[in-house]
Amino acid sequence: MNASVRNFVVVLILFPVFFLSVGIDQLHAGFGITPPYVRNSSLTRNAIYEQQILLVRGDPSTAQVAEISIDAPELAGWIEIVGGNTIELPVGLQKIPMTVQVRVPADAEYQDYSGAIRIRTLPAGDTLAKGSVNISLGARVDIDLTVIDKRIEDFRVRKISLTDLNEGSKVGWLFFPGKIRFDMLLENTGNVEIAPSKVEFKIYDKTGTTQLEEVSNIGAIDTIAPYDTETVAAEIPTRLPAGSYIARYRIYNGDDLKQEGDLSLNILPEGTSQAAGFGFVGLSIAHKISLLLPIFALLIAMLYFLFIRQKEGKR
Amino acid sequence: MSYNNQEFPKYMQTAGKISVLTAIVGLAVFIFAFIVDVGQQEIQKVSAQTASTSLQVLNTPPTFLVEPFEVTPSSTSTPTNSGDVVTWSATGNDANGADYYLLICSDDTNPAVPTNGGAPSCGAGAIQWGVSIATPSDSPATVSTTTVEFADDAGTPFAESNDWFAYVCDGDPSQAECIVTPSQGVVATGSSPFNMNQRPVLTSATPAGTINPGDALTFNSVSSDPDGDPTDDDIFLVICANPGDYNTTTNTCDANFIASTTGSAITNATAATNTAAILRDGTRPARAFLVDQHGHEASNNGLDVEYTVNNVAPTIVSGDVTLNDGDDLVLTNAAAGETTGFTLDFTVTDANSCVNTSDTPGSEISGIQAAIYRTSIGTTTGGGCNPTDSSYNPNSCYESSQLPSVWNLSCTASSTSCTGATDDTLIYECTFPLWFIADPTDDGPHVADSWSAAVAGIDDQFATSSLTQGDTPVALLSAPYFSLVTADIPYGALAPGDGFSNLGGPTGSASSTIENIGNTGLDQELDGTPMCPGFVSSTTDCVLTPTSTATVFAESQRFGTSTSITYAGAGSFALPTTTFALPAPLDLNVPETNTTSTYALGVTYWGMLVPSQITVAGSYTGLNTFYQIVDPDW
Repeated sequence: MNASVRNFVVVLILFPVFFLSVGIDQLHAGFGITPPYVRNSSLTRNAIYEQQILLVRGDPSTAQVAEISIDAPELAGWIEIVGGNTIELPVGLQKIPMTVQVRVPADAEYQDYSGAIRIRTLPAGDTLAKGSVNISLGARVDIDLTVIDKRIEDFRVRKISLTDLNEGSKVGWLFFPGKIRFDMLLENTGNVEIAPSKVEFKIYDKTGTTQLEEVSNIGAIDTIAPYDTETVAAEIPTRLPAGSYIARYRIYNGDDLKQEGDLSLNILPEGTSQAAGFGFVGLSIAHKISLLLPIFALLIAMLYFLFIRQKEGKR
Repeated sequence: MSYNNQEFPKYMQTAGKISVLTAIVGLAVFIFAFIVDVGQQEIQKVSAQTASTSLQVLNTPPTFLVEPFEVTPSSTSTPTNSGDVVTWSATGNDANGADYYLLICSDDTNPAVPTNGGAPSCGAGAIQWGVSIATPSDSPATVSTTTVEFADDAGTPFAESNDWFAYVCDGDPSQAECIVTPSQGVVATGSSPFNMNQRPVLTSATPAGTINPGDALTFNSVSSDPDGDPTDDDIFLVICANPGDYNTTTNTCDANFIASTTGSAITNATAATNTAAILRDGTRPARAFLVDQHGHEASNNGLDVEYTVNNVAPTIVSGDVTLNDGDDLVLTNAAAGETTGFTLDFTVTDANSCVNTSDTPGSEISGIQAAIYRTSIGTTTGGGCNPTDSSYNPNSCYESSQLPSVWNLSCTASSTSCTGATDDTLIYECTFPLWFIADPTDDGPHVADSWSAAVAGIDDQFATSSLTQGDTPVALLSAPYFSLVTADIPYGALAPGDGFSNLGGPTGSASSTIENIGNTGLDQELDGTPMCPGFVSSTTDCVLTPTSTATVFAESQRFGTSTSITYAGAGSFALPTTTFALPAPLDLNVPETNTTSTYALGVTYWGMLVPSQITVAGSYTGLNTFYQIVDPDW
């Protein structure tokens, strides 16, 4: 028997190599991510953008580990997974957040960027079945980013709410109006800090047919950082007495009407609510003048008096 | 001494002659009187008895020391209401110091008639308003009379304007006298006549009809006032809730005031008010009271004029509906089930207040309807997502007509948001689940869409508000979840150099099947590690030299979407090596699953060729990874 024949016999005897079929008990033990993307079309240079992605699994009865790899050559150095590229999926936890952070370099080209982040789950420790083609479930996160050389000032209204307020109060001749606190949960969908330019209320009687008052916010509204979602408040004066009303609100971004709708407005008798009312800033122009004029007059008189005294002293 | 008489006046010439003549004539008359018997009897008598004098002085009537006046002055502007007492007062003086009477009559055509030793009376044809008791001279005397409603009694002596004449008389036992000229007083409003005010007449009163909260409430009456001097009296209708609420002194309601006439009316007075914006429905008590401008009430005041407040449907305004607190809807059930805990908050307003007559907080608003849906579907009946249509669809429409076993919308009315009958709001806090197949709106075919909530309130009489959509829709995020149902890759027993001619092997059973248990269409990427007996978890656990006799490299495994594809033919892809190469995509085109119990499937067929240089027999272990990706074309 020559060598080649001998080898053939050996192989024939010693093998077959068994690739065992792998019966995977994975029924509904699913896996996935949400949302399956990192997406932003209004990034600017030096911007920092974070996107949270949930890793979700159907059966959290065993501990696992998620290995994350970033496949985005154009974005090398821009993207990282906060907390590292390995995330533990402990027993009992069905959803685990993963935060992707994008740091746009100062010299980034103004263009579209794409890539992918892959997440692969593995059994924790050395628990792979021997002699098997083990299966790992994974997911791909698509990256679609655009760096632009343009200011985008925009926001989305996610939620609005009103709290009950006290009616206005009178102190002497001064009327301090009630303070409507109009909370807005806003998502900054632009790339610069932003706040609503104006919030306008038309307040109607309970039937919504008779307009009783039209007012706008006093003072500035806090701004929201780019890509953030926060609650900000507009403070709006009202001189209406206690009662139930319907407020027709309008939220503006510059001249653009971003949102409008109706809200129930409850004004409580003075002193009912703990919420503070307006101070000096809420006074009408006439009342402000009536308060400031005597003070200014007194100051001017004092200055004049001092001036005269000084002049006489020089003599 | 001699006088020149011619130089003196005439009387100086006759002086003395006249005096003598006068004396003589006088004497002659005296003698003649005695002789000729002029007045003989008297002269004889006097001459016969002692001389005495006799004089009888007659009684004189009293006079007014203080002119008569009405103690409570009356006039056309301040008349005396019927039933009230009119009182006169005056002070008389009797020259004899005797008591006197103050007599008030309606007429002076015939003089008052004094009565010896008693009270005088009015002359024939005159009404006697009253006579005082005997009053000492110089002391005030008063006379009173109680008026009566003359409109009700034709025989009553009273009229709207009543003249009076006051006399003072004495009660002399033998020669009683009254003042000849009566007085009508001198004080402006206290002088004759005295004016009377009759009651207004309230024939009937009714509410104008049923009302809604906040409506104008009008009460009508058939009413009038008989007085017309100098002009018709104004009348006013006053409405109080209960009979005891009306105050006859202030002519308004001490409590529970409802309405009163504004302006003036002389007939058929009405009373109107704008009702409160929040009123419980049902019948409400009301009583009608009519009063004239002089504060005189109708005799039948307190007519029952109860009115009815309609039951009105609740209302909901768009800004009061908040879906999931403004956050995107994120499905987090990767086991083909429902994701629970989404929130829906809204406020139901009912103008009938949030409580009914039971006073139980929230009792007026007995239920709600809700729909959570992909916004573009809308809520119109006959096609939209509307609870009245039973249009439930786990992909895009969840509505509250479903049993909890189908869709478990769980709502709780806040126990503190309803504070009583003057509060019209009830806040609801709900949680609800969404199935894993709910349509995403951040990507895919519904990318321009969103999810909204619409709610309606139902009151205790089943009046239902319109379905009101909230102002702030939210996105539902893509959730590409999958599971492997049959990842059986039965390569079987193969000798080195052996392999499959077609993917799937001889029987087509070398396959893996994924279930789409997410809400997108799916594709897939695949990679795998080399296989070797010493494999632990990563590619580098195997010997990676190409000539290794104990490593089956990943590319020995190939895959495709059909059993008709030959092992190395078109549509067959080699499995890339994990960490060394990018995963290979496979266009599985698994559609979105549309039902909650039958899942869209994707099958991958596998092929194997054992390299001929393998000489180490045994069990080979490896790790293949299935990456799900969203099918860009779903």
